[in-house]
Amino acid sequence: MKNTFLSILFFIALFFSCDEPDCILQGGTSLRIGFYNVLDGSELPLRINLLQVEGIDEILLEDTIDIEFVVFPIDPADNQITIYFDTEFGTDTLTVNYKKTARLISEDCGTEVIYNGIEVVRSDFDSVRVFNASMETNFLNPTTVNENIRVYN
Amino acid sequence: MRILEYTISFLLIVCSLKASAQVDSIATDSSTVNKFIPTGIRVGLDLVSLGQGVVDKGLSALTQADVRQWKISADVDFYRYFLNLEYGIFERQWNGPNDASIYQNKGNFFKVGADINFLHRDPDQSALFFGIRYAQANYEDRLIYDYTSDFWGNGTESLQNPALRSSWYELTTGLKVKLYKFIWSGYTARFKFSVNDNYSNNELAPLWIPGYGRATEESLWGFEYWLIFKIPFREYTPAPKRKD
Repeated sequence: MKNTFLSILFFIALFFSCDEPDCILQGGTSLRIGFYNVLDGSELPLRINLLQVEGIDEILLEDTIDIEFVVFPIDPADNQITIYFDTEFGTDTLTVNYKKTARLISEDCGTEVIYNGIEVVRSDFDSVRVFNASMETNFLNPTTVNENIRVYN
Repeated sequence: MRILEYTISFLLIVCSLKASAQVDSIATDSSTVNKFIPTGIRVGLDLVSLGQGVVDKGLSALTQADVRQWKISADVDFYRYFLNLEYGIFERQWNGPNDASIYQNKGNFFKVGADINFLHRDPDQSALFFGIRYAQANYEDRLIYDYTSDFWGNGTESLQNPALRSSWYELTTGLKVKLYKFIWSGYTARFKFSVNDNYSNNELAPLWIPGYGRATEESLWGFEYWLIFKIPFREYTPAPKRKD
């Protein structure tokens, strides 16, 4: 009896282990907006006279031509961003809501915050479509910011 | 890792069944009157959960709140069956790199289920058992983390889940061996599965479920080593051995 007890105990102790999760952080904090032609859906580089974000005093872009997309840093403490566009098509406002999901992966790896649930709540553009509702970065290419919203003019 | 878990489960079940067959071959079933009246209650304290905190944090784990956990169990015998109830508390804090994030988890859990004892004719009332459990944990957690942004500045965010509940099932097997008079020791190995982890439906995804373990795992192994004390209700009369 005791031999059985000890042998099974040893067997379990031998294989009993806990594995730490992989340390892959995919939480991006950038919102990418691309510009497209409303008629055929092709990319439509445009001239931006002025680009501002509510809550940030500085002007992000001014008198710049051939802009295919813009990338905005979202406020980690908020769940909304409002962007003011002054382009060759006029003045437009875009307000986007987002959610976040946070988790501690491990003590060694730290915290990952993923911003997702992107939703356009106000737009003055002809047409706007949420292309990718998450700001998660690409596992294979973490520096690339995926396109989240497509604006059609 | 998953294959290893299933392999261990299978081997332990086979081992349990084999032991049962050996016992049944040398003893006979008895229609003893009152055999379903309990002989006592066994109360156990898990030494592994206490020891894990000490391994991680040293002896301070026994008194400080950054990691504290313990489990107790109680079982009552009804002939070759045990009614089991387990209860535990858990409290722990995890610190991320450079203390840029702090995660706190606190809660309790209970497990209830039945075991079948394959050594029910053992004169010392040793047990080689196999059983099932329903488990439920009630807990809260909180994450505080620092963020940095070139545009928005640096800051600290705090998220919390004030009341979470998770449930899961377990397959258990183990041994209980009499050491001295009213003192037993034993272990329980358990396979935990079918967990409701609250992982994807909250702003803060829980890292840990008290009594279960890491919330991201769909199934987990658990192990307890018990120091057990028996409070007898009546004198135990072993069943007579089978006549061949």
